[in-house]
This record gives sequence, C-alpha cells and structure tokens, in this order.
Amino acid sequence: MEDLDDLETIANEEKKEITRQEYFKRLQEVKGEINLAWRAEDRIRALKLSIKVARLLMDTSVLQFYPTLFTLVVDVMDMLGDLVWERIKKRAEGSEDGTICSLPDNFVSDDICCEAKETCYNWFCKIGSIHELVPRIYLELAILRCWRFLEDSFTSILQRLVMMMRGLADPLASAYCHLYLARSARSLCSGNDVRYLIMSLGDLSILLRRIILDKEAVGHHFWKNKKVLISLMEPAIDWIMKCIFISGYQNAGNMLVEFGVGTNIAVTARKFPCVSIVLHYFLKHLSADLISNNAVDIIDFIEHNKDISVESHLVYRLLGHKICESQHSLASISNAMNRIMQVLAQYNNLNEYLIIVDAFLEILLLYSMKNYLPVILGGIMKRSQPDKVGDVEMDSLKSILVKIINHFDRLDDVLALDHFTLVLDLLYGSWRNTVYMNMLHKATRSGQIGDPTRIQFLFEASQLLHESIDISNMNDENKHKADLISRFVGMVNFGAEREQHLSFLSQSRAAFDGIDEVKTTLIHSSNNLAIKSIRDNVKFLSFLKSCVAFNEVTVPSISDCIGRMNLYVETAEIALFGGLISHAEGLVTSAISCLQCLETEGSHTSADIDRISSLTCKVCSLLLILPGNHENRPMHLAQNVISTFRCQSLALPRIKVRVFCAIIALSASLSQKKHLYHAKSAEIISNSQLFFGDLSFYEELSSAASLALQILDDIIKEEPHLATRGRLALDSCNCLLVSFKRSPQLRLKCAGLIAVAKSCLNEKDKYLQSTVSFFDRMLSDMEN
Amino acid sequence: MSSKIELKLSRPSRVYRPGECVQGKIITTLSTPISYQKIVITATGSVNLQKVRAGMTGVIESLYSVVKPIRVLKKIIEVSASAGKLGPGRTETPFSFILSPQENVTLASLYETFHGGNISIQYLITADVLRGYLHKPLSTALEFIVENDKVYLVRSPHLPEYVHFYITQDTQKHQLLPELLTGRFQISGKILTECSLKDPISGDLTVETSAVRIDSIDVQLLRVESILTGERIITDTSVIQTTQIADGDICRSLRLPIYVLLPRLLVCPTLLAGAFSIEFQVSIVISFESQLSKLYPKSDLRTPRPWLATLTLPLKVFRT
Repeated sequence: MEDLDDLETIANEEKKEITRQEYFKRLQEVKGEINLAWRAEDRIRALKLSIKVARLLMDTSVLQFYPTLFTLVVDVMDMLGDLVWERIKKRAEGSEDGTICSLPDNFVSDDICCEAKETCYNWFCKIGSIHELVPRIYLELAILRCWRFLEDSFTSILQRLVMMMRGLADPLASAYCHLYLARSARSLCSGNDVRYLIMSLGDLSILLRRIILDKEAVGHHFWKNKKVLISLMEPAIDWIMKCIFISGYQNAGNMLVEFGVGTNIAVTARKFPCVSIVLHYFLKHLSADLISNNAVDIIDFIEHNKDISVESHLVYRLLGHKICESQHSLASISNAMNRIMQVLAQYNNLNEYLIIVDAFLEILLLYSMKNYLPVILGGIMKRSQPDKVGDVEMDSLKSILVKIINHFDRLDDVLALDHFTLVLDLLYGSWRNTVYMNMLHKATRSGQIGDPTRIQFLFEASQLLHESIDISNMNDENKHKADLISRFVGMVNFGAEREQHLSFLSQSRAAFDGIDEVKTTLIHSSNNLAIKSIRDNVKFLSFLKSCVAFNEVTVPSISDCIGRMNLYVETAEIALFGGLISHAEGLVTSAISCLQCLETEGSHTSADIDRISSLTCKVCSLLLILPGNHENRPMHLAQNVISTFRCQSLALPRIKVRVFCAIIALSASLSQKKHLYHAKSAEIISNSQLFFGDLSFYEELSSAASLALQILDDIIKEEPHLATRGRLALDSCNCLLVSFKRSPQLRLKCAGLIAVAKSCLNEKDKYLQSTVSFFDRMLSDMEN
Repeated sequence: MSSKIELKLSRPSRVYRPGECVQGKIITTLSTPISYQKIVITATGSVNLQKVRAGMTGVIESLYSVVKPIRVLKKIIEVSASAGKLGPGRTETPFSFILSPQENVTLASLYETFHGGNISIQYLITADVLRGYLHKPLSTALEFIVENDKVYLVRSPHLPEYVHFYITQDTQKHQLLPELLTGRFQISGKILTECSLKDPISGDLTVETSAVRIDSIDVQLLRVESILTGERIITDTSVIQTTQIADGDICRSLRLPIYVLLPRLLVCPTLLAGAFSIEFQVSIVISFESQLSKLYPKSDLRTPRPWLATLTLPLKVFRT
C-alpha cells in the first residue's frame, strides 16, 4: 500500500502538466484498477483507490475543468457504489444453507439478515474513518443506497449529509457535492420528502450570497471570476431544483411558501435566503399555471431578490415565457401586466427593456391591451440613441416588431401606431429585412393595395429587401423575398389611374431588375392594364402602345427561354386584341426566335417540353389571324417554325409530330375561304380577305403542308420505339384526315399510317380502334 | 505431504459476550492420514501493557520489561482426549466452550477486546493436534472478539446531555498568532460527551466570528492509556482518528454537524481497571490560515501551534 501511495503522488504531480485526454485516460485506468482489486477480493485497496479519486474533487483551482472532473469522479464513485451494493445484496440473499432467495425491489431493513447488516455497517464505518471531508462525503454518497439495508427512513441521514456539506467552504465544490447528493438520493426512493433538497438550495444560496457580497476573494476564486463561478454552479442548482419537482412533490403551491413567495418580505429574508439565480431556476421548474396565478406576488419577490448572480431582466423574460405557456385568465393577467409595466419603467438599458417587452408582448397582444403598445414603443424610443442601437438589441427588437405586425389584421393599423415607424427605423441589416418581409406578407394578404403612400412605403421596403438578395445564390430565404416582392407588385392597384400604375410598373422594373419572377409579374400586370383599357374602350390606343412597349422592353431581360416565349405570346395576343399588327408580328417573331435558343439552353424537364409544344401550337394558331403582307406572308413565320424544329435534334419526336401537325392544320385553316376565327379588332383584316384568290399563296400553303408531311414521315420512320411509333403514326393520321381534302392520295397515305400503327400496336388498342373507325367513316363518306 | 489446519467460528463477526457459548470447528485438510494423541483447544485472553510501537517515545517504553501481561482468560478444552486418527481429505472437528472469566483470577469480568497504542486486550483460540514427541503438532490460532453486554465500570447512562462549549482566543493556553489575538474569533457549539459505541459522536459547531480565514476544522478522537506501576500512574495520549468537518473558510453563523463514527476495535468502553485504564477524549481543532503554517507542513494537530485553537473534552464511551 505504501508503494501505491508513492505511485499516486507521482501521478498527481505529473497530472498538473497533462492534458484533459490524458487525465481522462488515467482515471479510466484507476477505475480499471479498482475493478481488478475488487475482483481479487482486495476490497481495502479498491476503497483506498476510490478515496484517492474522490480526493481529486478537493481541488477547484481550475474552475472550468471542475464539472468535467466531477463527471469523471462520479463515474468511479457510482461503480464502487454498485459493487458494494451488489456485494451486500448477495450477502442478504444467501441464507446459511447456501440457497439464494432474491430480495424484492421494495425490501425493508427487516428483510436483511444480521450478517449483511454487519457488512453494510462496516462499510459505513470504513468510510466514516476517512479524514478529509470531501472524499468522506462522496464515498458515503456513492454507497448511499446501502442505507436501505439498515434503515427505512432516510430523512435524518439526508439532512445530516446536507448539513455536513456546510463544511465545504468552496462554493463550487459544495455545489457539485449537493448535486451528487440529489442524484444519489433518488436511489433511496425516499418518496416526496424534499426538505433536504430545499436545505441544499438554502445552503447554496448562502454561499452564493457570499460570492455576491464579497468584494474580495472567495476561496481561491477572485472577484473577476465571480460570473464564471456562478455560471459553473448553475447546473447544480438547476438539477437540484429539477429533483424537487420530479420527486412527485404533490402540493407545488407549498413550494411558493417554502421559498417565501407572497409572504411578508421581512419574514422571508430570514426563512429562505433566496438568490436570484436560485429564483430563476425555481421559476424555470415551477408549473406555468402556478406562476401565472401568483404572478403579482412573484414579481414582488423578484423585485426583492435582485443581485448579480443573474440579471433580473432574464428572470423577467423567463416569467414572461412561463405566463405565455400557462392557462391564464384576464383578471389575473391584467394585474400582473400593470405591475410589469411599472417594473419595466425602471429599466433604463435598452437591451434589458427590449428583452422584457419581448417576453410579455404576446400576452399583452392576446388580451388586446393595446393601450400599452404606444407606451412600450415610446419607451423604446426614449431608451435608444440613434446609431447606438447595436446587434445585441436587434434580435429582441425584431421579434417585438414582428409580433406586433402579426397581431394586427391590417398593416395600416400597425403603421398607425405611435412611434412604430420611428422604432422601425432603428433596425438594420437582416433584422430589418425580416421585419419588412413580415410587413410585405401582411400587406399582400389583405387584398389589393391602392393607397399611394402605403405603396411608396412598401416599395422602399421592397427595394431594401431586393438589395439583400444575392441573385447568384437563390436559397429559400432569397426565393421567399423575391416571392414577397413579386406578390407586392402584383397586388398594387391604382384603380382608374392606369398611367400611374404603368409608371409604377416601370419604376419597379428599374428597382427589381435582377429578379425574373418580379418582372414576369410586372408584364402580367401591364397586360392586365392593357386589357382593362381596351375593355373601357376610350382612347386606349396610346396607353395600349405604352403597355406593349413596356413589355417589349421588359421581356427580353427574362432569362428563362420558355418563360420569355410565354410572355411574348401573351403580349402578342394583347397586341392583336388591340389591333397593333406590327407589334404583334414583332412579338410573334420574337416568340419563335425563343425556340432557337432552346437547344443551347440545355436540358428541359418533360413539363417544360409540354409547355414548349403547346406554346408553339399557340403561335401557329395566332398565325391564322395575324395578317400577312407582301413581304411577310403568314406562312413566312410558319416556315420559321418548320426550319427551327426541323433541325432541333433535342426535341422529342412526340413534340415534333404535334408541332408539324399544327403546321398542317394551320395551312388547312388558311386555305379555307372563311376562317374559323378572326381578330376582334376591326383594324385587323382577315388573311382570307387579304389573299383571296392569290394562287401563289395557296401554293405556298400546300408546299408548307407537304414539307411538314414529309418531315412527319421521316420522324415516324426513324422512331425506334414501337409503341411510340404507332402512336405517332395515329396522331399524324388523325391530323391528315381532318386537314386534307378527301382524295385517293389521302386514303393511301392514311392507310399506310394505319398499317404502320397496326404493326406496332396491339390490335385492341383504343386509340388504334378509334382512328380506324374514323378513317372508315371518312372513307365511306368519300365513296358516298 | 500437505496438511492444513484451520479454525472456524460459528459467528462470522467472531464477536462473543461473556456467558455465551463459543462454538466452532477445527478443519483439517490432509493428503495422508495421520494419527494423534489428542486434540486440544485453548482459549486465552490477556491484557498486554508492553506493546511499544516503533517511533514512540512515550514513558511507557521504559516499562517494557517491567509490566507483565495480565491474563484474564485461560481455558483448555480437550476436544479429543484419547488417541485417534485423522483421515485424508477434509475433516471437521467441532468444539464449544462457555466464555466465562478465569476462576482463580480476582478480576470480576472479561474486558472488551481493544487494540490500543500501549495497551491491548486480545483473545485468542488456539487449536493443537498433538502427535507425540516425534512429530510436530499441527496448530493454528484465531482471534475472537469479546464484547460486554453491559458496562460495569461506567455508571449506567442517563439521558444524554450536551456539553456546550466556546472556543475563543481567550480559551487558548498556548501562544496564538497576533492577528488572531487582535482579530478575535468565537466558535461555539455543543457535543455529547457520553457516547454509545453504536452511535456516532454527535453535536454541532458554529463559527460565529473569525477575522482570520479558517483553513480547516477537525475533530480528533484520542485515547488516554494509563498504567499503574508501583506508586506511579503513567499516562499516554494518542490519536485514534482525525475527522475533518470543515474544509476552508466556511460561512459564519452556519451550524455544522459533528458526526464521527467510532472505529471498531480501536475503541472500547471506557475502562478503569486499577492496574490500567483506558479512557477517551474528543478534541476540536480549528486551523487558521497562516503563512507560518506552511513552514510546518508535517506538523500534527496535537502540537499547540500559534495558528491552531483547540478544545479537548473527555469522552465517556459505553456499550448499550
């Protein structure tokens, strides 16, 4: 044993230089040694080693390391505790004749034979003979549960242990020792007797008060370490408080009395020496309902127990959160709120003021105590100096404003609050953006926005938001911002003031240049305006021209090809609707040109491809009413489509077939004497009138149709997938049957296509059957 | 050839009271059978007054050859009076005797087992298997512990009464640090000075004032062993156990418990036996923080140093 002592001393000396990991490793080794010694029946050595380990907790010189050290040591203590417990239990279970009768979990000391009791008492004696206080307490706590073999009531034992800990002058050592007691005592199942825990907290409070009041050193710790020291003691206070409440303490109301809440303060001071940090954790674990029912008393209590261990505004914040989560009633709350407002007035520091306001705001709003809002906002203004409001305050300030904004139904009500806009101006950076986002959200949820000053305000907010968007990185937040701005510009409505609206649109275009989404909305809005002006039918032409011109300028800056094409087609429709032929022609040409860049733009999803094909079909349908002239005949643009698609290697055969069928249908429609539909505007002369009897025009049509037919044949032939080929053949066949005059050539052609389809598809295929029956009907019509 | 002999008592604690029957068995484990003449159990008890520990410079050392051990028990029981044979393997031979004082000794009773610094009271059981002159006997010995039912030397305990005490700079007989004298201190408390062996020494202590920071508060359990030699009584006091009850400069006006379990065997009921006596004391030692104390790191608490304040009270120990 002497050798061992030497070894340990050397180890201890070395330990001063070693790292945390090594320390950890050494302790693990000692733990292993204890285990080994125990198994070799050398219990004295196991105990001696454990005492050495417990002794490590006497040293609190490295404050920050102490909690880690504590967990390491407690691990060893628990192991020893288990070993001793098991040994005595085994003793108690084995009877003289060698049989084993296992103890029930809820055994009492009378169930234990003398021999086991003797062994157990011996252990307590051995531990009682340890000289130093710290290891003696820790070892007793390690085997605390063994008292169950000897006693049935543990109150006096636990209270004695708490009292013994008063001998630990070091607050940190004491706090962790109390923590270990609270933890070990749970194994005693001592029911809901928590007096000893309250004693623990009382004693810790005395130590804390000593730290708070002492201007000089406390043990090895100095004034500058006070905060650190208190923060290191917090887990212990938290845990002990938690133990009080989970011990099934039935009458939690008594806890208030126990801590002296709501009683005469003069008496309280003597009863429980409360320290604000203890109070903080008390409130943390106390049920929210109880807090809210005694809110006024608690506020008084907080007022009487302010000290540096925890800043009082943090206690109020906790109180606010607790009241929020409780089942409260208006009566109890309104008193509490009155009191809180009084308390609040004392806080001159902006940050503390904001934190408390933030915590109670929800309650205030919930009970519509709106008369407090101007007071609070005014209070914020009073405490803030411009340019001196920093990052610290921003979080609470943001949270407060967001809560207010979300509370009201209409943004106007929010902006009408006294001081609100002034407070808003205090914000900056991402905090301000968040608030603006909430405002935009609120504004766009409650219908159209018509008030010019409101529009101007939101416009400026949007501009600031826009500045914060990083276009190269459209994450969720940026997308959300873009979405909000776009929704806002969409919701703006100047009513009859269309010119003003249009100028707002161009203003917005200039402001939100980077975001396609917003620009798309702007174009839709401008189109909307155009339609409205056409409908109203008074002197619309110049305004319509401005709208279309606005779009012509805006659309090219949209980066997405398909979106751009869509907008061109949409505007072209409007132009046609209003009779602006040259504009419409230009727009259609631009729309077709969009098709050309498809190939370079890379991959498209199937939805994109569907959009492309339907847009192209729509272009074809517009071509019917878009009047041609001598240079640019209607088919001239159709030719563009043909040539674009012909060399589109990426487009799917399905799309190509649809597009070329549309070309055939277009040719067929144009060749009719009376067109299926015509432009509403009287300005636009129908193509049927323009080219009536123009043979070259008809030739052009038939050549375009036959070219399309030729291409269709090629596509079908080249399609490798059988089922697809069959369907394509049927698509073409249907189109031909509808578009062409009945003739033997047509019959031959269609019969050929049906043959192709039959070779590819199942005979019972519905599409095949319906096409065949259509073909047969047409045929019989022809023969008749 | 291997032979092993062991003694085993019926009680694992090996504790017996006077008048009780001590039961046990001799267990022999042999590889070859042996024959014996007889098997004898001897129970002896003696008070040894000459036990001198290394390094002790007490006056008792000089008594080494003077005082003879006092025999309090000698019993010889022939377990097997006639010659016989012990077979190979394990053989158990039971025995029993009544624990009663030796008849020809004037002492009225048996003292309790005690292992002290100068005085030890020890009881042994020896088993001998005698095998004639040509063979070495097989023998073994085992200590057993004697406890008394009731105490005969100390008056029977009445209701425990606390002794209230004060420790101040004025109660100290030795020289104190100047800052202790100017700063003053007062420690008060109460303690039970009559204590059952089963119970802890209990009491409490409060540091009411102390200008100088406290380093540690310890409770020492002392034994006072006295031996009568001729006309003289020679007394020696030594520390049995030191128990720290405060570590560091503890809060003022906070009641600290005194809770010291009495170590077994090292403490027996207070004994005044004429030729010798065993008494106990409890001592409360306050160590104050001082630069001076660091110069004497090995100093014990019994030496009156200027940074220590001590209070020693007699402690009567009895058995209930």
